[in-house]
Amino acid sequence: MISHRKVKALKNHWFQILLALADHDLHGLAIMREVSQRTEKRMHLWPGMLYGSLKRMADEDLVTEIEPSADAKSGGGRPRYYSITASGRRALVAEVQRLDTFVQAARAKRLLDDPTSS
Amino acid sequence: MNRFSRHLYRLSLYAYPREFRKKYGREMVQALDESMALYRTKKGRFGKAQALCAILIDGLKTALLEHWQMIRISPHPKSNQRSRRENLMNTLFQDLRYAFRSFGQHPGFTAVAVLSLALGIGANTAVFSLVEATLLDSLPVREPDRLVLFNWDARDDFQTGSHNGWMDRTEGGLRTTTSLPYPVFEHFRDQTRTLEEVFAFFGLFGGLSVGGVGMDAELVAAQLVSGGYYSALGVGTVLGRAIGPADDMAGADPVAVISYGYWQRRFGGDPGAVGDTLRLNGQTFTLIGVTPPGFDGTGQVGIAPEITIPLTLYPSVSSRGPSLQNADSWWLQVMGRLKPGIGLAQAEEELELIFRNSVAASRGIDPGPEAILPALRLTDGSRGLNEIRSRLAQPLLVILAVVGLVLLIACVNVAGLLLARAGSRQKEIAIRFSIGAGRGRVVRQLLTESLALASLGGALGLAFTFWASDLLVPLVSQYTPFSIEITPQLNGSVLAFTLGVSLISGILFGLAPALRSTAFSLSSGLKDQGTGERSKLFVPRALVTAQVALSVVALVVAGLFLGTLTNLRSVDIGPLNAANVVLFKLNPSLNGYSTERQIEFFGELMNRMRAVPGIETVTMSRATPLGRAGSRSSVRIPGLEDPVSPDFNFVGTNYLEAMKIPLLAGRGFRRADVANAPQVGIINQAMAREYFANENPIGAHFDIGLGGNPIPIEIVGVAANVNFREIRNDVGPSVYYPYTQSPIGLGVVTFAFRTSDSQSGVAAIREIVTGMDASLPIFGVTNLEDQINAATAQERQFAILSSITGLVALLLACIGLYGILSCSVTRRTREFGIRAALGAQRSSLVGLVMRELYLVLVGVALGLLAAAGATRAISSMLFRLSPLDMPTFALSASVLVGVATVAAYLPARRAARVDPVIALRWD
Repeated sequence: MISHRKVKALKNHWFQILLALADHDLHGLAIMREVSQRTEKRMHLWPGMLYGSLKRMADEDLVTEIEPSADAKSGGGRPRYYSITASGRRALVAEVQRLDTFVQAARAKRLLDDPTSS
Repeated sequence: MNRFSRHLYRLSLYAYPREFRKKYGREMVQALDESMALYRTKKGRFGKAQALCAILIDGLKTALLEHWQMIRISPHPKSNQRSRRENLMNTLFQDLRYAFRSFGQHPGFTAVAVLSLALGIGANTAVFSLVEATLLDSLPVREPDRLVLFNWDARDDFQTGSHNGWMDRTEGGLRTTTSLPYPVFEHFRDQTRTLEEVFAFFGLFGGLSVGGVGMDAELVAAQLVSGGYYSALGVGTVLGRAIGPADDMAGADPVAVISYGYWQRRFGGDPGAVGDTLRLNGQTFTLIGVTPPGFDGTGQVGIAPEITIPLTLYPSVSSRGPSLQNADSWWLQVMGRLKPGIGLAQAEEELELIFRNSVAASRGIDPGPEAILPALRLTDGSRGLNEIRSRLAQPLLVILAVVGLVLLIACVNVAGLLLARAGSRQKEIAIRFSIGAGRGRVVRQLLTESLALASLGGALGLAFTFWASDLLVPLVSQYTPFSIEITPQLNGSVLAFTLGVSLISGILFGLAPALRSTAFSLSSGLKDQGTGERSKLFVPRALVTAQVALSVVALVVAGLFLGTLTNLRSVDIGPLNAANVVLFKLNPSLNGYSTERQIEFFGELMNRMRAVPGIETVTMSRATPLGRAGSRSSVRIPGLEDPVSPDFNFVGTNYLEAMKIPLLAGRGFRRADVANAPQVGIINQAMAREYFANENPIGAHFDIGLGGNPIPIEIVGVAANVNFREIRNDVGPSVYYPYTQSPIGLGVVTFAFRTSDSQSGVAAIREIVTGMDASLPIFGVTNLEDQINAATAQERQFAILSSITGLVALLLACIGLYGILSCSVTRRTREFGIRAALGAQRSSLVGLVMRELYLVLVGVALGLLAAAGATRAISSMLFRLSPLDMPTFALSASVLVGVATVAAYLPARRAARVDPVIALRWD
């Protein structure tokens, strides 16, 4: 088990973006949709936040941009797709494990067994 | 999301670094709509405003972040053109950071400045959003700019058979209105070649009585439209279909279209509602469609018809309405859509000819130039009908001026605060100069600070807006004869207004302090304490004078509104006892009741009401005290040449007794005064005085019904004057007559009863009425005391609003004065010390400081002059008070001088207590 001290917590919206990209490549709008649906609208990625994050995540090699195919007109038409990188996947897994330690701790305290105990 | 907002968003992308914008800008604009849609959890203006605020914050945050990234990555940009701009961004960013750091260091100053700006900007935004919604907003239809509205002007000698609708006067004294006969509309529609389409509509005053299977009966605002209405406007439906020409033909199936709001409210947004049947005034209609949200018809602003039916069905819902084919019944509103490339004047020329021919033909006269005929006037139709709008314009602009004054005062105050702070920053600025900063660079930094301050104020002000607009809507809506509903939107133009106001005020209060605090010599700035040069205080003095002047204006306005309120409160509406009186209204004539059946129904209803325990003195009437409704009828009084038009109020036989209105002469009504008995009436004192000055009116007769067969009415009594109309008007001549004898039919009826427990009383009444006829809507439930208080509610709110403004202005001016005098005393400590050492008396030292009160006198004089100019704008809102009311002006001036003297005395006392020994050691 990884000690959560060694892993820097991933920013929450970065985590959600990586999670969205975990099983397939998506363009920006689709990421926004996925995150909104999956979190039941509790997390909303505004355009500035979304593309700012994607840019920085690309800088830090967590995601990579897939160039639009050659037949798409330059400057318009097809949106840019993003794909999770190997290090992105590592960071995602590390974050999931970090979060998992908390869930397990909560489980050990039997928080999830009896709904009336909360 | 409209085009304007999207454009605004595209512009706002320029806040991002160029590279970022080029790479992501297009996708961000595309993502905007969906982002808003995903985010909006709440409907209506709050949901939209919330989303807009979130977008704003997102943009601000991430744009700053991106710039910060750029700076971090490339601290030394190369010296080509692009990096010069980058450099500019860097310094801007630097200035901003510096500004926010200094705000953090002076939290007290920042809080006061931001709060006062937020108050000013918020109030202005709220009022502007209201101005936008009422005065500026176009109809949400296709190309509203091509719509035209038909008006006509006529001299007084042009007589119309019957007229229904607003009638105003043009500046030239002509009567002007938009009401037209149906046949004239048909001529326009069939003959025009300059308009694409001509359509007509009519708001059903009083609404429709709606019932249905399993529905509570209710009264709903409604309108009639011609078949081309929706297609000409380009308005579709969100569900089902709109009314089309085939629905507006004789013999067509009765259909109705409802508004989105009514669909939500009455049908819970159920898509299966289309195809349902509705009982409208007792007739069965099929619901065929729901119009889009935001479309409230083309009628007066703030009045939204919820049900729309075709014009040809008018006779089926109203037996009293004008006949469609009557060419001398003027009631219908007509609009049209210009063909592309056709101007208003060109269309008017063509339609004027059609109009003259049509009216002349219906009267059988020659439409020559000498014929007495009305003149057609086409006006801009992009906002629908304008009568209420034009009545709201003045109070709205007055409120806008008052809140503008608040913002101005706030700006002057923040400028004063900045100046005070500038004193303590002189050393810092001098250091900047000495290490090579140009004056422009330092001014720019100071301006950035004030703009940042203004932006913070603007952002917080937006939050105030929500709260303020809830207060404002009732403030103006009382200027209309019936209640209207306006929902201000926080849309792109309102946000642009806030942004503009914030920027302008930032420059306004920032420029003078910035210029002043950078205009000084290095040598004196680097010394710790300036030597008291008096000229240095010129700008602060001017600011204090301006504050005093603005305060005087605010105080005078407050005084005039308070005076108006007092005058209105002292108006005697008549001797009656309004305590514990509950009112409610019925209109069975909408449900097709004949007059006889109504009389029977009302008698039975009142009998059942009297049997309820806890309900006393049940009665009924047409008009109620200060109810702003009533009907006039022409009567001929023997001995008078012209017919006169007193108010006619049909009442229950016990009305005067029940309302405790004294009978001054003669008798009250009796139960025997019924339909087949001789007609009787009780006149009020005003009528007795005006028309029966030299004779005893008891026993005299007058005739009602000037048309075919006049009905004589015998005067049996004279009652004390009670005001049934508006509090600002004097009580005019009026006649009470028993409802059982109504010669002119019964329409809306108000019942009144006394009870100590109004809630259970109203519940009992609802049960009784439903038991007698479940399809009869009860409406207008209120109590008489509330109704009487409501007559002065808007004056009360104006008085409160202006008093708060006046007090805030006074307080701020005094703080300003106190600040400047304290500052001056501190600077002149040495001088006072020397004077004291040389033997000056304390009183003369006090006098030296108090001499500065000349600032106040100059300010007061300027303020009085400004007020004299400004109050003319509100003269029509005052009551029995001149806009130049001397006592108000004198009182405002003396309050200001008095309070200012106290504010000045505190520093003066300090000057008098200066110890010469300490003072001479100063420096």
